[in-house]
Amino acid sequence: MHCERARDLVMQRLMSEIDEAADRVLTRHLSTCAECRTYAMRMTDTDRRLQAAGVPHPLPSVREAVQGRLPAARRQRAALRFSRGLTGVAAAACILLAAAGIWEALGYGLLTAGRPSGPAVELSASFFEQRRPGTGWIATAALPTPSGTATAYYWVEPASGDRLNASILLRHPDGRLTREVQLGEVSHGRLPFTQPEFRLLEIDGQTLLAIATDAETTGRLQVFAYNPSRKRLVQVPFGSDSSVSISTWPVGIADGIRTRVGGETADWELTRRWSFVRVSRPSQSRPEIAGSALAEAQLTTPDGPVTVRLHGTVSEGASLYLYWPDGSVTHEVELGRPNFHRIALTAPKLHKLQLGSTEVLALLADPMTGKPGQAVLRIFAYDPARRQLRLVPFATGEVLVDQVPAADGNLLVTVQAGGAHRWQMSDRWLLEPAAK
Amino acid sequence: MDAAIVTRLRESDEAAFEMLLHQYEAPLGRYLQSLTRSRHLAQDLLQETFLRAYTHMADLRDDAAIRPWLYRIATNLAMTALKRRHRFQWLPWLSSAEPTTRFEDDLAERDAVQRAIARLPADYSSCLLLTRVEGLKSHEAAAVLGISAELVRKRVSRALEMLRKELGKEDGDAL
Repeated sequence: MHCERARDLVMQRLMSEIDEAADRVLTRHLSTCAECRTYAMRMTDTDRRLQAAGVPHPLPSVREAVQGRLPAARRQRAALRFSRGLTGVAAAACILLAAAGIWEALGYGLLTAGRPSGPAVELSASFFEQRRPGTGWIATAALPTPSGTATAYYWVEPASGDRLNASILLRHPDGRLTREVQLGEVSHGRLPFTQPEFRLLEIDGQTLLAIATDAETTGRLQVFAYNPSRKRLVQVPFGSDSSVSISTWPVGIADGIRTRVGGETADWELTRRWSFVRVSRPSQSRPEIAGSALAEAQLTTPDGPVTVRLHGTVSEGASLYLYWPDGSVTHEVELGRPNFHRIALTAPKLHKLQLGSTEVLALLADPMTGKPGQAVLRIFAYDPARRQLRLVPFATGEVLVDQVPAADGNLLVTVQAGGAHRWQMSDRWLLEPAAK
Repeated sequence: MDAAIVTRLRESDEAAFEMLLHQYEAPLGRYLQSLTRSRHLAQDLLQETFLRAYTHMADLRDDAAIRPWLYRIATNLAMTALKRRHRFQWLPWLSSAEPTTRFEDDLAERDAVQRAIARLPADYSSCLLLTRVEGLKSHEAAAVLGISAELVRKRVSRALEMLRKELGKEDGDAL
């Protein structure tokens, strides 16, 4: 018997599919072939380790979520049945039309602004069935509550222009459907940014609902808990902030979580009042720096003067680092791999501007629109409360400019075909249109 | 049993769909979770698997073959999702504490195996999971994946070899 055939029989034996005659032949071969004997032992040992490791924890039930989506599936099924009587393109069009309602909302997911606010709003039982085109949920999670399992939905619906409103809906254990949290606006039609994602965090006996969204330069983590006495979701803030920047999902520490952004870590403990308190300061150790400096600028911060440098490589992406006078270097803002070309290929510069009492840095990047002269403007400033460099987003979303902005206390931006605009930094860490 | 459920489903009996959910939710969820190494992605894919099955029930030729058919839908969805990896590399939700008890050792071992499986190419991990974890025969896995039973066994063999190497690295990392 050839060894190749013997090895197939080893696999058949492992899978309990071998017949008696073949089993005898295999036994004879193994008694004479040391290589195949070793192979069989390796397979058996590794398989035993796989079997002994068991299986992952079971997933929370998706039954309720599936049942909630059945009305749409029913329509799609009906359309599919109908389409079987049609041919070719006509049939495909029918299916696509039926599917469009479900999938229209997918592919979006760049959360740029907004905080949860306002009371929970009761929605009708037929809300899902009556939803408008372009609306839908793009993430869901089963949330245990004292009275049963609730289902949370990350819901999006059209806002103005190319933007969508995002909120969290909750199907309560008693069947009620409520809009619990308004998350703000989501822009779409962009590069393949991360989809918003729900995860359940088990901390200190509490099940918390975590939402990670792409905040462009980093991820943004928001955490909510089900308050049984109020029967609604409440936000679990990070200190005084409703969210915290992350570049990976948090890992567990004793009573809380450790968040990471770039090379920085922060430990957060969950208090009894449902908030996270920071229990350690970020490491000031020297991070690994990818690539040579592409641009640099000096910045004056309440913690002293600092040099900001932009480094990057194609494989690691671009990042902003702070070089402190004591020799330490901190990794501040990850601009991401997709953005490396947008920045590096346009001879990047960090332009320092004075906005009121705050020094900010302007970075221009190729918007990938193919139109010459346009650039995406990003503004960064040192946040003394967080002691880190942060993106200062524009309240209206992305701003395309045709020249380097100027400053006269406010930010002066010349926009393609839209004249000059003035922006001021608000205490919400946002650039908002300045009053005339 | 499966054939009876399918017959009722073809007649739009939604109680039968509930039975299908009840019967296959756990094994398909486990399979998707192992294949994608993401509980939440697996949950989403699990929903999609059932909804696709519901809407495309007419495509099922052999009523008794619903199990491999469901696994085929789940595998196809997972393969597509794995091609669209997130920009961020999410870390698994693990305790940072050193394992000190046998129970924790078991958890660490389970997680090491799961991590190692997640590093295998999906063509191989799907064969391994379908046959060695989900208990499909090689001809059933072959029907799920659209390949021959012999190729399934070859891939399982190769997957076990790769898993062994990956576990060797994991063991080394733990030192």
